[in-house]
Amino acid sequence: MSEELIRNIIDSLCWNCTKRILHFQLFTFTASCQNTSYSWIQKYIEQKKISEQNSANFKGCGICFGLLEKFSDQTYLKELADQVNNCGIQFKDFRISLTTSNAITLREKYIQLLLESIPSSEISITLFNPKCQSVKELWKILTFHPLEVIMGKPYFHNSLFDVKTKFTVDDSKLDADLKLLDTRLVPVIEGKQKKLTKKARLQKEIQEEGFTKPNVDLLVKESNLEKMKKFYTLPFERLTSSFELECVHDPIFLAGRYLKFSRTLSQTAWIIEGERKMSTSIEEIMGNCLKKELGATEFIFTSSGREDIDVKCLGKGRPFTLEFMEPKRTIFTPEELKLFQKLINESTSDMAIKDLQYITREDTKLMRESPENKTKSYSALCYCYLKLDSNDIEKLNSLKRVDLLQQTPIRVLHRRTVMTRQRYITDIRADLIDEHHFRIKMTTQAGTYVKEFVHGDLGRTEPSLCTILEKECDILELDVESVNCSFPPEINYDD
Amino acid sequence: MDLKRKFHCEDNEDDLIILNENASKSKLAHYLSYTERYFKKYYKLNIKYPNNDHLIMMHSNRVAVCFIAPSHPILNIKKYKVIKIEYIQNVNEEMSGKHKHHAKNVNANQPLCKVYCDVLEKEEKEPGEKYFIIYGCLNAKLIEINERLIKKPELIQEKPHTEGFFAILMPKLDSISDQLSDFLTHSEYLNKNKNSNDKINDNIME
Repeated sequence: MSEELIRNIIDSLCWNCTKRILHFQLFTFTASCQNTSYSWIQKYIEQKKISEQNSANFKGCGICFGLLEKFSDQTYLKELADQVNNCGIQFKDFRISLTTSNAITLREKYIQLLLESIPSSEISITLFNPKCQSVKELWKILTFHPLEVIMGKPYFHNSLFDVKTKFTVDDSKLDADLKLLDTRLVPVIEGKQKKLTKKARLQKEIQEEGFTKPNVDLLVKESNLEKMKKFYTLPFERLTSSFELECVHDPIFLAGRYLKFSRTLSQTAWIIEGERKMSTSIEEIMGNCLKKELGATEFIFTSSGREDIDVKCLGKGRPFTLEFMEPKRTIFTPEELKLFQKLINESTSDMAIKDLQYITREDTKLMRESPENKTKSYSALCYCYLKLDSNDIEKLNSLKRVDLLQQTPIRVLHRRTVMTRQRYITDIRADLIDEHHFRIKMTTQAGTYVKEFVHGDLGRTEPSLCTILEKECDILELDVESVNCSFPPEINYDD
Repeated sequence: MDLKRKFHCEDNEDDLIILNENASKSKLAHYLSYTERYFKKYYKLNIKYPNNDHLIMMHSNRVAVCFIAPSHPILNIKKYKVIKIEYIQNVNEEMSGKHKHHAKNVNANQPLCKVYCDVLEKEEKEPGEKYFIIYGCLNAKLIEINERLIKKPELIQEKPHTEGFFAILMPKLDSISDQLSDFLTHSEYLNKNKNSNDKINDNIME
């Protein structure tokens, strides 16, 4: 009874799986072995070893579906490495991710239960290897180093370059597994069922069908040998799965600062009710140019704050980051970055970028961190309805620090919360241009509405230049002089 | 300075374009004021009782600010002096978020506040104190009342068209054109008043 069972099990496996699943004692011959109850198993294994080890004639496997046999063989790995090297994506290291059918887990559990069910009175050792590695683990161990050697690039588990391998077996060959899967006990959620979130609903849908991990885990948890016996017949048919490869590079990030010289160019695409207001934007000018250079499919623009369409951004510029999805080009020399920068700067006179550099995903947090501590310097051209004299300008220059209470300006009231914000303005320097015009330079806390500080927004920003001068003022032009943030660091490309 | 500010007062445009016009030599009077740049004026006359004229300034983002019109009797400063304002409607304190959830809805015919005035030039049998009722004029969400007026009610007369606003309203976007159809536009209002009262006209031109 046991003898037939064990022969059947061994017949279902490839040589690597045999070594993996059965206890290591079975593979060691010593003189004392001759009389033990399992010496016949050792002989049977020995025969299998002779016929299958290092054989190029792959038969497949009832459990690993050829993963540890054909798909960890040198000739296959060479082919894989060639495909990866020819995928057209630059990479300096790689990681491997592996998708297999979860039927593997199910079948392995069955074999384990069978082996454990053999009474020790018949065979005196435990047949199941207590240190049995999973197919996925072993496949990675067997393949990563040969791949490193063939590709000439190191394996790094946090690498941004993902070699996605997918091994699939035709569902028709997994008939027994599917039927077994249908018998699983789906846990009933007790009590009042809450309205599921979108994510939870999606998860539930996935859970309902096919060889998903939660489904298989449910069955493995039950570990019902009798039930499994009804569905599985030994030996398993020895199968070889089909193989697909996809190489994907994780998003990469570029950072820099941009300058805006136009009062008719918006920062991001300005679309109202599906209609474009402006032909282009800063985001699109540089995003599309770099997207093309990098061969990326998509880009996401993030910046440290924004300015109105009629505000220039000068001086050090405003920090931004660009995230590129599935890029082809991923390694940049300073010369190449300088070239990209030149390409953008020469394509338009409305804007420019500087300090373009490669950053990691972690670095992007630097830009978002502590935005409250950031300050910005502005230069505003103002106008006064009444005549100004040097006393007025002195009054402004004597201000050390102005603490403002700003109610949400009317111009953004339709899309911002109604609240009163406390902000401060420092380093005020005013210069009289003529009787009615003056230029004021100042440093403000992030989030200060500067235009409202000048005209007072119907008295809703207090104090304003109007209340300080006790004369009606208005703003004509506004320039951002600098966004005082240490990120991204300045780079000298030696122009 | 050879700068000129140009303002498109079309319905959907609030972009500011600054043009260099070397030709213009005179420095004054060609800048539009803050309210002229961003707002479009609509008038509603004789609400509930004669001469109770209101002005709604509609920002290009469809936020409405409620004022009294230049022809409103309160602005006759020789006759009236504002002493107190009493709000009948208040902003719901539970209003929250950028979508103004739980904001109070006010009806066009609902009174917003009462403005109490001392009568300086009394006519016969006229009482020494009089109050005017200000209406919202729009079916809208009440976003803000002007709390500064409670402390400084004189702003209503001193700065009737800037800091002396009464309330900020947000009408429903799809109802705006319907609601504004029975308002007078700025030029219609000017024409109407030209014949009746030249003095007020002068007021507006300032």
